[in-house]
Amino acid sequence: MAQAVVTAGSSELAPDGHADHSHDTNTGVSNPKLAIWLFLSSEALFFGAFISTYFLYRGRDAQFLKGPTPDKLLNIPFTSVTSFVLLMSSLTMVLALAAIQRGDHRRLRIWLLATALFGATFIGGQLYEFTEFYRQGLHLGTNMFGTTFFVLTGLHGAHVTVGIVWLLLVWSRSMQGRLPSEKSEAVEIAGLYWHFVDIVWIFIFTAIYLIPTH
Amino acid sequence: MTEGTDLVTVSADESPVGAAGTAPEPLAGATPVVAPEHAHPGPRQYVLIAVVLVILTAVEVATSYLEGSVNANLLIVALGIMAAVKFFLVVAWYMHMKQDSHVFRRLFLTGLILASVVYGILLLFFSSTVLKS
Amino acid sequence: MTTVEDPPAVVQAERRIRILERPKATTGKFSWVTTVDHKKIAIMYATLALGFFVVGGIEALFIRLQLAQPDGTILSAARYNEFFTMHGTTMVFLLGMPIAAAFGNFLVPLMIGARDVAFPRLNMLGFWVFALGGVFLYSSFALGGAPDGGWFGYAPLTSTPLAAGYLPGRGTDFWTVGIIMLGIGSVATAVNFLVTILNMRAPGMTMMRMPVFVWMMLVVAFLTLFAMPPVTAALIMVFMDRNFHTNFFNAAAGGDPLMYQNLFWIFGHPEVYILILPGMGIVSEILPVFSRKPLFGYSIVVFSGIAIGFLGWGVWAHHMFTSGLGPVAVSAFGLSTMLIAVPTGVKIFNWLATVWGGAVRLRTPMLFALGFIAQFTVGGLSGVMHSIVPSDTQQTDTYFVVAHFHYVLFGGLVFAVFGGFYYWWPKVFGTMLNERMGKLNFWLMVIGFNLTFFPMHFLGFEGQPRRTYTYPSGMGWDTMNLLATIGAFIIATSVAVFIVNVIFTARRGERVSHDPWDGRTLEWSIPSPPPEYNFAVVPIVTGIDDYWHRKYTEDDEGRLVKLPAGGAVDEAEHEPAGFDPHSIHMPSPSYWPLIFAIALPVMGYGFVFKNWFLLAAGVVVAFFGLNGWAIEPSAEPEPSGTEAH
Repeated sequence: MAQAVVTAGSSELAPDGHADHSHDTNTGVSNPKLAIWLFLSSEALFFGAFISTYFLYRGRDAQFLKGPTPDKLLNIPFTSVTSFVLLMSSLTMVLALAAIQRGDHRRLRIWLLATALFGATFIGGQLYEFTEFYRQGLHLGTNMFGTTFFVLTGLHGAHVTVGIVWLLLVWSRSMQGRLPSEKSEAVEIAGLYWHFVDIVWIFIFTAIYLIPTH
Repeated sequence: MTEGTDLVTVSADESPVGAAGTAPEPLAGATPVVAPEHAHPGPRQYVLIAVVLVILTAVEVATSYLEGSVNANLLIVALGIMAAVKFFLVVAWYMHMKQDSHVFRRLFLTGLILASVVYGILLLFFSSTVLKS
Repeated sequence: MTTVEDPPAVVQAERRIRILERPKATTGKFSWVTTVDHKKIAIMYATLALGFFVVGGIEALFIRLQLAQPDGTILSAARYNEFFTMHGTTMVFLLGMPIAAAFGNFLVPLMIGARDVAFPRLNMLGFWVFALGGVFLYSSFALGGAPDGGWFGYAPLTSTPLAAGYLPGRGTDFWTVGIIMLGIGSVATAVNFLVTILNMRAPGMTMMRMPVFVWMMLVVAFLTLFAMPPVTAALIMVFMDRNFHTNFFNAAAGGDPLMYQNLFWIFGHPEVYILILPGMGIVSEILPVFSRKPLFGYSIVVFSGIAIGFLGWGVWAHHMFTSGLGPVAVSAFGLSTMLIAVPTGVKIFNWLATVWGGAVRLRTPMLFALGFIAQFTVGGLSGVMHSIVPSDTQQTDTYFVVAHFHYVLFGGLVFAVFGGFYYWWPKVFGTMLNERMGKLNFWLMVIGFNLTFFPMHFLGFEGQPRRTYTYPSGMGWDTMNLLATIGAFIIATSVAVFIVNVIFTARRGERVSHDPWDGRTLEWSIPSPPPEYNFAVVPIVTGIDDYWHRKYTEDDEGRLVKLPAGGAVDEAEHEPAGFDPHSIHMPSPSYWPLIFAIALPVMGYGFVFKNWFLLAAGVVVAFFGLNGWAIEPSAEPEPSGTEAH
């Protein structure tokens, strides 16, 4: 929720009513960009809490043998593909930004849509994975893996979902012709959020899927 | 086109890229080329970064299959380093931290370092060395 | 570059039919609902926070009545739990943090020479999230029981599934969801303050020329930004454990309740500094003005504040010395706790040196500031006692701890806040609070406060446990408890005197000039109350205490000499010739932040009652609010079409 707040702030003007020219500020950087970076550094502590909780509890199931264990559940080839898709969405995102910065609004829209689509693919993969695990008997309360896995990846998925909605909003603004090149910062800020969600996944993917459990 | 200045800057930071692709640059190597004068890199670098990211991911996944045949700690360290490199590539190039104002770098690093130190100490609490000594 | 498309024409005026016409009024009662003016938002913050202060105070009075005598029967055990939980939660989240936002909102832009904060609508959102979050928390009394697990909400008491019946009722769910909600508002406000302070300073207002209060707000904003996420994570885990059968803190399934304590105090200790640093900032502004001397060692005070902010991250485990962390962790955190006393002590000596040898005027703000120093020092010393681990083990969960943190937070923060009220009242409203009532307010509060909380040190040493709704006679606790209760009612009287003073001043307050205290910082250079745009001409700053140096200079022997009238001093009273206030284009009022803020409690009720319809409705409203917000420009174009650039 909070991240969306910052988004909305991104269309803010400097309070003296002048358009938000970055050179007007003391640090030389624009207010909305500073705000999103601050927010992302705050988010680092949010995900850090869940990732450390995951590490604290991983492997503890051995003493509490109950339900399916991660080495039986995790489908690494499948998740590698969805991770690859999310990684590629970062490429399309940055291409969207490059497009609007050189005034190419047609490509901007294409890349924005592609990014949202890649994100949606990732979420689709996650939903498939969740239902598959659930079918195999892993619930939130089955064991510590169920608890930490669903909550950590679920919260990340929620962030990706917010990002998709955000990108679609930016896209629709562009379609309505209300996103001229001089407002490219709106794309840049959405992009920063998107890349951040991607790098969080880089760590989650390594932590949950790649590092051996036992 | 009101934003004439935008066009100028874009063409300014695209030309050295083209040059890097054709003419031999002294610094051009396996690492992605950094556009001089801290201008934003162009689509060419972005794709190059993506290729590196994909290769790294493939290596990561392959490494994880070595489980059992290699020392587990070594595996964890290797995977951690690769994740960190991927993280660095995305932040530095896709999030433009290399070119952008150092203000962002300092703020984001503050959050990252704080998170690592605090949660690192927190996890140490639960490790047997701290608990039993 | 020939294939570049022309950018689509910018739509100048909104053509679509709007569901909500943008509010325009900046005066009248309704304008307060949609205002984005940082000064109005500050007044609303302060009013509401004071309202919650009274409510939390009434809860405290009930607690004291219950404990006045052994075997008290005024509150049931269950009600007592609700009252001490809500007392703590209210004072931390609904008084301490919002009152800092109130002072910060009013003063930060004025002190750095800005016309508003960086994100006026985000500012508005912060206030409404606080207001509605507070109402949400208190609605629990009517909707299935108030929170009763303590303001710290330790797992596994709070995290055991609802059905198990440890904490029956929905109170804990209201508490977890409510604190997450308030956290969202706090982070939004923190981001806003950070960007404002880093980016919007007037020309010449370098970081090392900023008033100490602004510095402290900067540190507080950083602490808030980084401290809220860990507790949000912990609260999400508690909520999941309680409602969705996860095992985060369920030891029977491999979870670890100690993890909750860690995550909570990783937030909880920086939170202590989030509460006290604004108070330190206020005192650092009051003391120089009423001593007619610059703050002693400005840069040392600033760096001490930063050091406190940093070290505040490395002491959280001293709240957990008795939870079995092991000797290494306990020793390390004992040492770091001793260390953090150093910058705090440095500040106290700087304040003393500021007053030393000054032309001291003992007006009400100064009295409160001096009260702050004395009482905060007492609380600081009992705090250092807790860094001695064996001593702490003895004192844990006794009234000694209650005495300690009330000396810091009441004797410290609340005294600073009241000092701040008396000091800046003329700036906010243009009238002076009555001085005689002010002195009465101060002395009653000093007597009541010390009578309430000093005996608690002894009660703690004699072993009276905290959070216990009654005690038998014959423990030797009777007299001290009775004294504490009497003291609590004296505090209540002093707050009543303040409220009477406010009403009296509103009716027939003495109007004063723009600079009644002979102030040093920029806010005193503009009219009282300040115009909407704050500064007719954005000031150019040349040093610390810039406004003072526009008024005074020193002769050869270092004596103060008032500069001839006219010049800079009169700028405030007479705006420059030909100045047209309409040429300053201020941000326009808005509905959208309010709509988004309303969505949060709707979602909150959805979570608490697991009503997915409400949750979905909240999400839709939030989306509606954010979308409208994103599309709406910060400031409407001038009606005449002539942009004031």
